[in-house]
Amino acid sequence: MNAATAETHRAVARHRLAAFASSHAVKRRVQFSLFILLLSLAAVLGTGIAAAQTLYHSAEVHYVKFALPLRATTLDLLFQIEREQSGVRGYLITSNRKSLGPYFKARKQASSDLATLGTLAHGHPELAKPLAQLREEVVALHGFDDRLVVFVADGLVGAKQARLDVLNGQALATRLRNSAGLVQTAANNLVARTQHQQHVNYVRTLVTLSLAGALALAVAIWLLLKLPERLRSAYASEEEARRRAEQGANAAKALAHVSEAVVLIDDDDVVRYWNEGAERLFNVAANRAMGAHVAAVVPDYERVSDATSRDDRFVPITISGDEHWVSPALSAFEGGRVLTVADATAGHRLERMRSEFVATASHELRTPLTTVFGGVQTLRAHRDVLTRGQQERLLQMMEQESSHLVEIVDQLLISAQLDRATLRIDASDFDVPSLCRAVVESAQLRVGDRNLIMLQAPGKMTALHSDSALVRQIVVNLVDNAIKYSSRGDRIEVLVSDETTQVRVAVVDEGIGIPPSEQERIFEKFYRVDPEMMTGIGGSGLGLYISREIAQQMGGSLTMRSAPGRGSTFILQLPRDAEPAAA
Amino acid sequence: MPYGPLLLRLIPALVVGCAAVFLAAGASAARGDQRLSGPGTVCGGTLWRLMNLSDADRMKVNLHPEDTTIAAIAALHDPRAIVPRRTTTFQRRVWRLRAVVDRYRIASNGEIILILYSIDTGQFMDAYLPSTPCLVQRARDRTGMLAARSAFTSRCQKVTAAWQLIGITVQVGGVGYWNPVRTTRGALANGAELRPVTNLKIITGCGIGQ
Repeated sequence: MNAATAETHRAVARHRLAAFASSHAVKRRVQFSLFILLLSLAAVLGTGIAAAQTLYHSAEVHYVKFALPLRATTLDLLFQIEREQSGVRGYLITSNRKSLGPYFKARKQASSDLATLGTLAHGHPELAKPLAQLREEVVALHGFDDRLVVFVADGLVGAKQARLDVLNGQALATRLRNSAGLVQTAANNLVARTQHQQHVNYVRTLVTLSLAGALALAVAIWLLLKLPERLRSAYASEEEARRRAEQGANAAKALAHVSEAVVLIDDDDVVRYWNEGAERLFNVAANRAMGAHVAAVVPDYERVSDATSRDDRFVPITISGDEHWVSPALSAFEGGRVLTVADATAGHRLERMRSEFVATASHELRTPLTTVFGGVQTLRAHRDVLTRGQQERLLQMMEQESSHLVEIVDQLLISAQLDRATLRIDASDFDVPSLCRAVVESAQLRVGDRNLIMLQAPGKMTALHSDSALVRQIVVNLVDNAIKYSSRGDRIEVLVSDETTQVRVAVVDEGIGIPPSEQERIFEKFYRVDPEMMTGIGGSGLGLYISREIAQQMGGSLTMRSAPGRGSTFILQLPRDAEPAAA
Repeated sequence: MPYGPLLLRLIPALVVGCAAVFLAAGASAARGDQRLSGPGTVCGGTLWRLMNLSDADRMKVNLHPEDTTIAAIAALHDPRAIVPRRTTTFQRRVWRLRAVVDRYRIASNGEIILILYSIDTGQFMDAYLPSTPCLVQRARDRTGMLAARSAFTSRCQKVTAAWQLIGITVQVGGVGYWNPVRTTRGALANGAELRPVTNLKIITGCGIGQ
């Protein structure tokens, strides 16, 4: 993944991040609302529990544990005091200690009651004073009762004195009852205050519960009304972001695999996207191109840009010192433009070769046609004055040129058949040396003494099962090429060798040779070593192309080795029992 | 000599003489403290130092009071011989109890006798507030003894030689004492007494708690 794709992914990530941030904000709002709701509910629950607990505790403390026991204990104390006095009075009457039984029990119980009252009044300062007064009254009455008892026990004098004092005990008892009443009143006041406090607590609790409940209800209603829409909106945003991200990712993936260079340029001529095709074509990494000025990373950008405005099909630019022909296209949109550049070097070369072929073919066809046309005109105009020998040479010349024309046309036809994969191979057994001998002799006749063409072949050789016409076409092409590029006096050899699995035919010349840079290209269609025909060597540029293609379709090969000024050697290798190559 | 006219002549003289003796005895009792010339056997015979906590074993007495009851004291066994030494545990401790003072009076040696009564058990026993002139300087807890006497005399009716009913509830503490004389009103059968009383607190009576 190049940097441009990475940038696209980053953009997608930004979209996703924005969507995520939006959804996150919604989430946080919902969480906050739920938190408030929970808080309110907790407040309602807590207040309810606390209120119930407080009310219960208050009732428990002030009624069950305080007011009722206080009242009961006070009443019991009065009752015990009455029992004490009854016991003492009985003792006064009977002077029998057994009569003091109730007195002792009541006194013990009264002490217990006083202790209970002290415990109950603990923590209630308002009860301290009446309770202390009550305790004093009880002590005083006890002292009085003790006095009566001890007087009776003392004897007659004491008993008499006790009977005289007994009425004083009534006053003490009355005072004690009054004190007990004060304790009761204080307790009742305390209970009344407690009731008031409970009422206040009740009202506060009610208000708190109402407020918290209302808040919780409001939050719940808000959530009910807003939450679904917000969730839907967040989901839609997320879905849209996901869809855009997916589209962006797909687009990035598609652009990354486009063979052409695709460059996104903003209005400031800054590169915003640079696909892998651009990396390959311009040999500039995307991370260096992204953010750079387009002229700094696209070679000959001005020329390319101008070409797009003129709709030029091919534009030459120099990339890393090599000339490339590119086919640019520019699409503008608001905010920028997309430059698409296809490497058209091969196409341009083919186009150039086609142009050269037209020129060559025209030249090659026109030359024999001119000869034939001139001969025909000469014969028609001067037939009467020409000698028979002159006429015969003209006709022979016309026959040769016509034959040449047929060869050119045949090559064109074979080339077309190769292009359409319709070349038919009619295999049969034939003798390769014989075939080569015929070609050599024919060529020798044509070149006369300009060059010596020699054949070296085994005396006896196993027949080759192949298409003899096509093999002959190859050998003819090779020998003709050797003749074309050889100088007068150069020797040409055709060497046939019989090998176990194949037949080998080598055509060796002492011609001008072929530069290494062109040794492979000479097998290309319409390629000519001398495209400008400066050397005067004609040719369609199809011979070697046709020869290699035929050899390969017959399962063989055609190779060469050459050095400039040292001649060339073309080697045809044809397998025995070979299956024709698939078209 | 006929006795009739003589008796008639002597009767006024006997009445006057008896009256004089009676008045002298009353006056003596009323001013008992002032009439004591000084501490000694006049304060209680040979055991007077035990009675006033100025005896030789006074330092053996634990002044920290221990709560008890008249019934518990009445259950103690008296010693075979009562000597001017603290030979029993009862004598070497201050005992504290709550009781009702039934009667009281002042003795000839200046002591105030309190007859204590337990309502719970119906038992009497005696306790003694020592006489001030008999409290020599060597007496232990002299201050406490004086304070106990003052707590009683300052709040209750004047002490007389005759028994007075009083009926106050007190918390009284005193050192254990075995009295060989057990015919005194209120005395326990074993002769146990609180003597001297070292602290006294009126719970009710004599204007307190009423």
